[in-house]
Amino acid sequence: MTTINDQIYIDKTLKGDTNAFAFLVEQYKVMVYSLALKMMKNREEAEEVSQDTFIKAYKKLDKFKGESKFSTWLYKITYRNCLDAIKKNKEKYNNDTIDEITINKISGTESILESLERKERAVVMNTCLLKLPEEERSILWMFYFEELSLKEIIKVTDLSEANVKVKLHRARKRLLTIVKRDVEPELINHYGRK
Amino acid sequence: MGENKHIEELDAFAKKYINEIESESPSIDFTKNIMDSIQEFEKSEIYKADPLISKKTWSLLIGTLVVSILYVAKGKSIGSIGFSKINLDVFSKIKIPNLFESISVSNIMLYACFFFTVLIFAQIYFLKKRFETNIKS
Repeated sequence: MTTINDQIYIDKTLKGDTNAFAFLVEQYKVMVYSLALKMMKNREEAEEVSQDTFIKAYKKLDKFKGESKFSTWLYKITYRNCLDAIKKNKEKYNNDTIDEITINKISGTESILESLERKERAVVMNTCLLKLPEEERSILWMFYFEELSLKEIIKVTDLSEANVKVKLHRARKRLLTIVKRDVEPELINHYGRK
Repeated sequence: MGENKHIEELDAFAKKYINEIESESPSIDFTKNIMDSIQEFEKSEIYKADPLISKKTWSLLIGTLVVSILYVAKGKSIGSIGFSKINLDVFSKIKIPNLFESISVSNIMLYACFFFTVLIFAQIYFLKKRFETNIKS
């Protein structure tokens, strides 16, 4: 399942060539750090968790049997590490309550977002994404940004298929709710004043 | 039908706008920090002192001891184990000359030897600790 290139470097590392592991770190550092950052919401903590992820992966490398992609295996360690770190500082990670509202028309929200520049829109969407509970935002990130399949997300999170599907659907709805609640009024106000 | 269309729209919305978010990179020293930690871990693995008696041997020794105690406690004499069949007369025929007969050691000398031995064992313990901390740092 894992790519041939990855397997070459994994084998080299297992044979004692620690520098071969540096290649794997370089290859996957952005992917691991991005997920950690989405979950931790803080650069320093995300970096710490990401480094810990790679060190754990190195120590457990002999247990990686190649049944899944190396990236999925790394994701699983990152996800677990982040959840553990969040559990330790529970008060810090209190999510705001999002009341799901029934939104029938997405087009209105879309046209408002389209009025923004691409870069600006990316920042706005990132802020909205970070307002979701950590499990939901990480699932959204893995599914849409990293393009992981449902099967891979199930492996990473250890949740059932039905549970992942429910969380994914709820997360999408909540994301739209947050955009409607926080971004729309601000933008309407801003452009209204102009 | 309407619900399905709404789910599809939500999916397209999330796909479009989440994909626009830019992924961020960790600091420049990221890989170096990881590799430094790994080198340290490898060093500590090399110098890890293996116990002289392994856990397996300890459990075997304790197991044998427990079994023997239970066997004796049950009231079976050692003779019934089968030692009586072994001819131990051979040992009585062996005569070892007592080489230390002429040497007399005072009590003070005995105490000194005893404390010297205790100190050597204590030193081993402290030296081992010091050796381990020096390697780690």
